[in-house]
This record gives sequence, structure tokens and C-alpha cells, in this order.
Amino acid sequence: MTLLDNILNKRWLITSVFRSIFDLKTEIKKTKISFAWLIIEPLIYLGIFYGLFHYLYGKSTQVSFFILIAVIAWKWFATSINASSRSIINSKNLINQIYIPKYVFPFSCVITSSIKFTISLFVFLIISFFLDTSIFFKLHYLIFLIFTQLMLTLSISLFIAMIGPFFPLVISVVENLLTIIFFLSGIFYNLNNLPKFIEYIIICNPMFWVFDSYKNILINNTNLDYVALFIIQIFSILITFLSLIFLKKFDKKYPFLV
Amino acid sequence: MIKNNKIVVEIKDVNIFFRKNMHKKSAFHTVLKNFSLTIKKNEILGIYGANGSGKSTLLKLIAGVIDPSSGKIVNFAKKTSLINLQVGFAPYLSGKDNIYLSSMYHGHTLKFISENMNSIISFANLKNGFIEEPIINYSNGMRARLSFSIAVHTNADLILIDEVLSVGDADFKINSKNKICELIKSDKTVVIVSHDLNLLKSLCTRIIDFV
Repeated sequence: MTLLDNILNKRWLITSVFRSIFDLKTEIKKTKISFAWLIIEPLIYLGIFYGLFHYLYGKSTQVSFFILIAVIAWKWFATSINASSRSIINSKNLINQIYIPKYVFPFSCVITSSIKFTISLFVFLIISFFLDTSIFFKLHYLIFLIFTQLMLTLSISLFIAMIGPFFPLVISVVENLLTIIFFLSGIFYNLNNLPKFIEYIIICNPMFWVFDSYKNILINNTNLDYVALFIIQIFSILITFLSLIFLKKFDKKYPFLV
Repeated sequence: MIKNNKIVVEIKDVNIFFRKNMHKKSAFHTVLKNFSLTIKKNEILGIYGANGSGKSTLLKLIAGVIDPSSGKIVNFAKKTSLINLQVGFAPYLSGKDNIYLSSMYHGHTLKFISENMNSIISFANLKNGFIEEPIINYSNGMRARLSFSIAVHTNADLILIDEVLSVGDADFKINSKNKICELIKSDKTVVIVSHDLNLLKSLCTRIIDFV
């Protein structure tokens, strides 16, 4: 644990939290709307998807609910990584003026999007309170799954933030990469109908397993795929550690690069 | 009592060079070559030089933002504060919010910041109500005032000033000069970088010509 103590520090963790609160404030000020927007926005977003899948495509409530949770979970994952990828470069002026450990930047991006995800999740739970209460009996599975996804999101965000300034190309293609991962995560289709080689690619995608578990909870009413989720957790811990070590190693190189 | 010959920063044979990107063919930029400097306590050191001579890089090195490529630097100051024109303000937040953020980066607690808020605002001496406006509406001079005010309230014992004084108006220059004199009396050390030789001559106890 001494290694971790060396890298992470309470003062900077608190700073990360404050940074993300101010990030949210900035977003609200930019759009010139009040704090209510934080609740109205997911409400509209979820309303559109529910309307589309339930009424237009005639899907069952369960399938529509799976789509809802899948889109907010995806938004959480994608926004964190996207924002983290350019977080160090965007703080160019700051890191040239005062020493700040570089993990603060991806950390606060992940915290910001996690706060937004939490709000969306609450909105989702309120909607399901009126339409289908069965989800409240599966909440413990959901929490375990969300925790796993948080670990994965954090690890990849740190990794992308670390390599971004060295390879600006990564920052330019990260959005496209995310789109590919999105379509390879099996939200809108079944794995059985696909050619074999695509199946092999898809099962290497950790987000596929996360969404598969959401599917299991909400549609199939089966158990979580614990083996896959534990593998994802171990993978996330490894990537997080590696990224933190490298972020520490290059800490004072970044001002030259950005 | 204060020992006047106490060393605050010691730089020995420092070289700084870097590649702007990861392509192997890109050239190395040499910024500092075999550079040595000793800064003593209670000094107002002026660093004078042309654009691109490495003055700002030197300040970043002292502030601990970057590491030298080779050589040694020891900073004995408890806290160092660097003020420059590309301040890391969040443009859409108000001046007040930015005071909170900047002070947090300098390691202050919320309590300390709230206690010092009025003093920071009054020293920055912005026009009516501007402190509640987003930073994006500020002029360069106003940003300089605010960042100078935050920096002198950080309790840093080593203050590095990079070209900030030359953008302010006459009023700001007089105020900041007085403040710098006050800082020196209170056991602090100041390094000022500028290409305005007259300004440096009027303020500094020692001037280095940076070529």
C-alpha cells in the first residue's frame, strides 16, 4: 500500500472532487440554465429512448428498460473516457503554472460523469417506480455491476489520459474508437445471429460483458456472469495501477508536451 | 532572526532540452545549458532577457513544474508560487469561484480561503461587481491583478513573477511595487522576469542578464 500512498494523496483527491463540482458548475453556466437542468436532461434523454423503443418499435417494458439503462451506462463510460483523453492538454495553462499530479485531471472527469450518471440512475429508478417495480428487487445485482463498470471506466480513463499527450492521434480517434466499441457491445442485437469471427472480437470487449449482465438482470432474470465480471475487475485494477505509475513517472514531462 | 545569506534556491549545472513531439526525427530544443544560479533569502532578483531565452522555463523549473534534463536543483522554500500571464483560470467561472479553485491548487483549506476572500478581492481592486462575472469577460490586466492577488495571499515564501507586472496599468504597478516591498520585509523572496529593464532596475536588488 505504500506505493499507492506515494502516488495518491488525500489533498489531491479532495481537489479532484472540487474540480469536478466546479466542472458541473461551468457546464451549467455555459448553457445559462439552472441546476434543474441536471435532472431535466436525463429525463428528456430517457423519455426519448423509452418512447422510441416502447411505443414505436413495440418492445416490452423490460426490453425498453434494458435499453434505458444501457444508454445511460454507455453515456457514463464514453463521456468519462472522452473527457479524460483531453483533460491534461486542456489544463495546459494550469500545469505550466503550478505543480499538480496529473491523475487529478482524469479523476475529476470520471467523478463529473459519475455524478451525472448517478442523477440519471435516480431518474431511471423514479420512472421504473411508476412503470415496473420489479427492478427494485434486483438492486443489489445492479449495484455490483455498476461498481464493476466504475472500475473499468476509471482504469481506461486513466490509461487514455496518460498516453493522450504523448500520442495526440489517440485523442483524435478516441471518439471513433468508442463508437466501434459501442456497436461491438451487443446492446441492440443477439450474439447468436453473428458470424463466428465477429463473435470472437466481441467477447474480447469488456463492455460487452457489462451489457450482457445488464441484460441478464433486466430481461432474462438470470444471475450475473460473475466470472466475466471478476476478470474485468482484475483487468481494471491492473490497468489502473500501471497508469498511475506511469502518470507519476511522466508527471513533470507533460508540461513540455502539451 | 533572518539570516541574509541563507540560500533559498540552488541550481547547479542544469540542462533542459526537450522534443516537442514523439517523432524521433524532431529536433531537440535546448533551453538551458550548464546553468547555475543561487538565490538568497530576502532577495528581489530580476531576470532580464530577450524572448525565447529561457526565462519562463527557468521559473517553471524553480516552481517545480518541470524537472531538469540533467543537473541539480534544490528549492528550500516551504511554498513557491508562480504568477504568469497564461493563468490557469477556468474561463466560464466567476472570479470568486476561480479564487476558490486556485487556492485549492495551492493547498489551502476552504476555511482559509473564506477567511482571506475579502482581502484577495480588495487587493485585486477590480471594477464594481466584476468579481461575480465569468473570467472570460476580464481584460488581461484584470486577470493579472487577480492572479497576483491570489498569489500574494498564498503564504508562499518564494514568489516568482513572470511578465505580469508589465501588463497592468499605472495604478496596479504602484500597488504591486508596494506589495513586493512589503513581502521582502516579511521574510519572503521574489524573482521577477521581464524584458522591461527600467522596471527591474526600479524594483530589484540584483539583476541577471539572461542571454
